[in-house]
Amino acid sequence: MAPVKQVKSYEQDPDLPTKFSVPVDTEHKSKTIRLFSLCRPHMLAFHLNWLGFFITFLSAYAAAPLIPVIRDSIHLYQFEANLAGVVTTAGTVVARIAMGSICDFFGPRYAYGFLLCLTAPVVAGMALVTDHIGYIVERMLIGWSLAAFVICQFWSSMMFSPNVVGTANSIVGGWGNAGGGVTQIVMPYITVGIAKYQPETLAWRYAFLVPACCHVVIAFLILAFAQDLPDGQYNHLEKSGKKAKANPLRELAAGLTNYRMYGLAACYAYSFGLALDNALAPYFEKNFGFNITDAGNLAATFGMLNFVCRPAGGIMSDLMGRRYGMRGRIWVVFIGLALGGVSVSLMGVCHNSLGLTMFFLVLSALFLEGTCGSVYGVVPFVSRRSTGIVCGLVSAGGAIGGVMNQAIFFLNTPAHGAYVLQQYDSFKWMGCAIVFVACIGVAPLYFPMWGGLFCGPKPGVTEEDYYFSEYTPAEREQGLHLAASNFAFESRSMRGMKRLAADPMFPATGHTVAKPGAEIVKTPVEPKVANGNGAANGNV
Amino acid sequence: MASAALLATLALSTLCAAAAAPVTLTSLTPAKMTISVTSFMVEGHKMAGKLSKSADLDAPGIPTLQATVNSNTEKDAVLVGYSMPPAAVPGVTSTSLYACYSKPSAYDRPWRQANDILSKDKQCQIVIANGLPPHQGNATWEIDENVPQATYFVRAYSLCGQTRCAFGNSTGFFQVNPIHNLPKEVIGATIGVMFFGPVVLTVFFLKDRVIGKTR
Repeated sequence: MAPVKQVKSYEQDPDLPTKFSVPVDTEHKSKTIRLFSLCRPHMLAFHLNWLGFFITFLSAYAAAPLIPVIRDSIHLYQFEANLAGVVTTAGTVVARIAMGSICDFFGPRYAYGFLLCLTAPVVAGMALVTDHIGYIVERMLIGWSLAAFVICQFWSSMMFSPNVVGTANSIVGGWGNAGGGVTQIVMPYITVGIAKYQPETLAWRYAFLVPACCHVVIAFLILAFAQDLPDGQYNHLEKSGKKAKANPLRELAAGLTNYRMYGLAACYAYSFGLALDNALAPYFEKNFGFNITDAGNLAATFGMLNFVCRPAGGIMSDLMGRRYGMRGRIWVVFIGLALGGVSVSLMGVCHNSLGLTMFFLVLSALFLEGTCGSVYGVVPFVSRRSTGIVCGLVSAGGAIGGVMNQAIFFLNTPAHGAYVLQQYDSFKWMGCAIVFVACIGVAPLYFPMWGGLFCGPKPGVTEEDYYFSEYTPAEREQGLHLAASNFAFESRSMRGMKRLAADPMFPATGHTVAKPGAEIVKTPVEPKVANGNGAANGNV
Repeated sequence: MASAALLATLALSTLCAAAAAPVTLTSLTPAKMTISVTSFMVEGHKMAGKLSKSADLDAPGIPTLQATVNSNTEKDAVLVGYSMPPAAVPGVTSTSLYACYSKPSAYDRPWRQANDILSKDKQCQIVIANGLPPHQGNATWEIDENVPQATYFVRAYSLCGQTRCAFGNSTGFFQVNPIHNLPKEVIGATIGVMFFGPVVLTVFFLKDRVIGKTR
């Protein structure tokens, strides 16, 4: 079944309430993505989700295309502007870890509400900056809003079923990331527009008020119209006892002690964390002599390719997941990251040819951004209990990788730095580092019930064993582990078609799926006899 | 008839060739114009036009002017004079004066870099005045809020028709500092926008968590 299509009819467990407009699984998560629908709760949450993430990316990187104007206005040196780029990413590390806990505790709706409403004043505050210290501090604080990524992936994992979660996560992630590319075009236009009525040295200040207002508008829409979970809002579900209150410390411990998280964090660090958006415009300026606008537009293509490349990675992850199970998903991560590293190296090697550089740029975008999408096709399965924390820790790993990469390869200028590395050499060596990380990052990705890159599953281990083991014996005695039982059952689809075909408990496709523990009752379907003699058959 | 056509073609091709070849600063050297900064207006007071030999920002003794927000207050200004003997370059029709970034101020800023090809040059972009008398004259440059912090010198280009045919640089540098304070409108608008986010969050939080709980 293709993940994205207009669903006309579907089979659903007759015991489930028919209040949903999309087919849902036993956890009421949507089994399909209807892109042109705003039906509640799933698709409305989907669209508000990517919008919320998009605006944070737009405001976090809003300063980048305006740097010449800002540098003239507040007299910034180049290395101060570079440092601000690094701290934007560094600021998100702690924020992303904290946001995982906030998601688990308050729910994604209020997590977005807190994040967007409290970072809106910070974005607006950029208008009051008058020196380099203010600029660097502001960019660090605005960088905290990038923690929206955690909420984005968490909410999407809560709303969409395992068979489409990779696609859903990657579309919302990709469309949100594209904000970094769109801002390179939109912010200069806004500034130029305002500069018709105000001097340019003030126009850029007013321009920052626009994304700040957008933060508040989108926060209002999310708080007013969206829903935390398919079954309702967090606080209502906790009040009625349908959802246990989260234990943040216990969940943080469960996330930190899961070794798969570290492998995924490393992969994400060297696919997303590269933050090539920042480095490409100066590279085009210095290496090919483009002016600022043209260099910015060319560099923006990398960010904009997130619209298609990241979803492509998620779709590939889902397709391979359906066919080969979790092992297929892990192979997609490995191949994408390795080929991404090779493309980046070749882009650095071909620095004399603009055509080849652009070709390898597009290839790099495809593989690296695709890897970002496929990594978050694996993340929802790492932990059921600490989904938010794992989302947060993996993305924090991405941010740490970004800081390291920027510091090693792109921070130093000839005037100010311990060593001088030509930018095309930076790309070359960074590509080699990416391939190395592809090998060591994918190694810990092993699930005992599904297998890993080269190893098969351990016989006799089930999904319930894995997900229930996240709860302490005391919690299991209280029955708290049963909250994961539906998810464990649904995640059996990660066994791959071959194993599923041999499993009588979980038929492969096209049949009604009963709740765990219930008998499988197949509704008999009346055969439709198509012949011209309707009256003789008794059909009037 | 044929010879006239041939001559016309030759003349046209010469003109095209002349137009196609970019005018460079090297082709105009040596500088034939003399530029002098007569005086500075700083905070309404007249100061002597003594320029600094050093182009470094905040060099000791460098005359410093302040960019001003567009308002009724008197702007800081530079009064510049120029002269050139008419025999030095024939055919001069007018003069233009530009404020140019010094080399230290253009460092690491590609949008201020000098280029020998004048049409691509970004060093001298700020126009002080156009269409000035060809051989001698003066002009005033009022420092408005768009002028960035840098050290500057003044250059004059003589125009022979549409092309530049001579130039001159001032023999020292002066500094412009940016505006001190932000205008009240910027501060007011920013605080207004900052206000909304926390208010929206508080309203929803109270509605859901406090009022919702008491029901």
